[in-house]
Amino acid sequence: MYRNSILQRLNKVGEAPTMLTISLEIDRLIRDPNTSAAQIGRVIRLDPALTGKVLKIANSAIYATRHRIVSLQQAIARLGFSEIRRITMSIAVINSFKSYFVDYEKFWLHSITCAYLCTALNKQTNRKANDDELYINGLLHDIGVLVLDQYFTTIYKKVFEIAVKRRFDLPLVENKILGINHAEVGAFLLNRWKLPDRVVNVVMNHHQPQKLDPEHETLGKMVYLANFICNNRGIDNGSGFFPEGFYDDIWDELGLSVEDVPQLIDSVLLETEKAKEILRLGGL
Amino acid sequence: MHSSKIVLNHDEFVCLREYIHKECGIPIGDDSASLIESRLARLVMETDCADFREFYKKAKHDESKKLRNKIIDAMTTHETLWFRDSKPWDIIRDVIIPQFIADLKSGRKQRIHVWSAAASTGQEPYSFAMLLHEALQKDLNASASQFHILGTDISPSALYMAYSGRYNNTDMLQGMKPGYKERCFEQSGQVYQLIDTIRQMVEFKKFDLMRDFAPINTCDLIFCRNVSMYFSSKHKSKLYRKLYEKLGKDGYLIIGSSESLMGYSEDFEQLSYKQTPYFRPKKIERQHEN
Ligand SMILES: C[S@@+](CC[C@H](N)C(=O)[O-])C[C@H]1O[C@@H](n2cnc3c(N)ncnc32)[C@H](O)[C@@H]1O
Repeated sequence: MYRNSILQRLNKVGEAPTMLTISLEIDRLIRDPNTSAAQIGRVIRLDPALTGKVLKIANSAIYATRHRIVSLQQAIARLGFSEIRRITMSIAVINSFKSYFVDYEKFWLHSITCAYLCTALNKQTNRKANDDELYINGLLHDIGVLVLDQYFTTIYKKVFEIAVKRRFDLPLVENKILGINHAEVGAFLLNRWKLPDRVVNVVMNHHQPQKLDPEHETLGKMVYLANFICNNRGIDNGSGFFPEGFYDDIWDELGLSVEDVPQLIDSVLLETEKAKEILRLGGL
Repeated sequence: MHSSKIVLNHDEFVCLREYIHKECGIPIGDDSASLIESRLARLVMETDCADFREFYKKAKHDESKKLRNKIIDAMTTHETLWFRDSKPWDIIRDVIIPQFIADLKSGRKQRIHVWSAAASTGQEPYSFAMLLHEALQKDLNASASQFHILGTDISPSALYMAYSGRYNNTDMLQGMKPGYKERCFEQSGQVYQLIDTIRQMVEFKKFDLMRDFAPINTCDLIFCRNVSMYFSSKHKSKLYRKLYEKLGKDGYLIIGSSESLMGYSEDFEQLSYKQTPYFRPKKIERQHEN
């Protein structure tokens, strides 16, 4: 089995990529109510590429600001902390991972759409979960796929191709051949990089929501459903996975009704457009 | 590693197919590997098995039969197909739809209500909608807006799939009649999307058949198929009584080919078309009641 060698290799992966570290620092700063816009600006400016991309996105159709935003200071003032946190996080993750054979565009379109959709679900279900936490979880839930692609390209390419060609569940083929799946791999690395438990736990259980830690349940269930909704629409991570359904209990637990379905489908179509912009302006 | 070990292989499917046939009494065709895989994949994950081989072993050694029951559930719960049982759809096409159109044309009826009472992922109400759509293209005496087609189920997941009108290759093949796939679906990658014209003919709602039927309109046609097995004898009788009460006096009831009203209901008279039974409320009892 490849499991042990994969874990050993992951243990040797270095520190988190710079941009990711910066965006985590921003995340930490924004949680602190005493943080000022100037402080956040200073951290973003540490990375010129990040700064440029933040400005591009701030001026994009997503926000439709009337006047051109020329400085970070303006961007932070106009869009607010929360939005800045989401933008930096998106740029950071999409620039921190290479892809060798996984379709980069498809993969990130899926993850970013999923992230936005989580926040839309939060609103629609009125669960009052933290939107920023949801966003990060949505963004990172499949990150193990890219990690496997990046560090174990040859064997993972085989795994991926089998799943795509025979339309098998990706984690099942991963388990079968590698003895580990992308959810575990993602969680393992994020844990090593000291991402918060709530992220690690949700990433770990995004196919098995019944295993979530009780304290992260709401987050995890939304990620699970958002993932389903994206996959149902063909906005999959590149594995072409089309889901058979979801756990009915989760739907009820989140207080959704069938009358919500049309709006959810509208949401996913709308969020995909936003995700495309982020990817176009913030991507590699 | 040999490639034969890499894939979720044929052997596993053969084992599982045999197990499912023997333990659950569900026959599965030689070419239905993808059916087993798609129905059971979630269960494999849920039971923490790494793959189908481990899952099969677990199922075989499961003394408590818990896993066996879950497998039956996964294989049958939302199982449905296009034009299921085939023959009743001849009745729909040759007898029932023409009559509905005639009733609308003559003004005897203003609107026709059709209810698929356990619609699962939508194949049943959509099969009706496709036949209706075709009939209305040939006969301009009525329009789709004069029909209300309702699909209900207890499962939100099934209803989501139904509403989205999106089906994978495996599901598309099950029971589909020639021509409809091409006319009524658009293919995008591995997924077939039902065209809006048909999709929008059907409304989906969550509804538990154990409940009071007050929210349901009086119907001209009810499909209540392959759901009665989830009801005890007592509840079956209740179910058919409630259906009877929701059916207009000249309405029709269609049940599954493996189901029977015998012993549960005497409210219906049996009609038959090309040796296939269908039902309508008994006339005498109605008059008696009024
Ligand atoms: C085997 S499918 C039958 C689908 C379709 N009528 C057919 O014949 O192909 C049974 C469906 O009944 C639904 N069901 C089970 N119990 C129910 C209840 N009490 N009320 C409504 N639907 C129920 C299940 O969720 C499932 O989708």
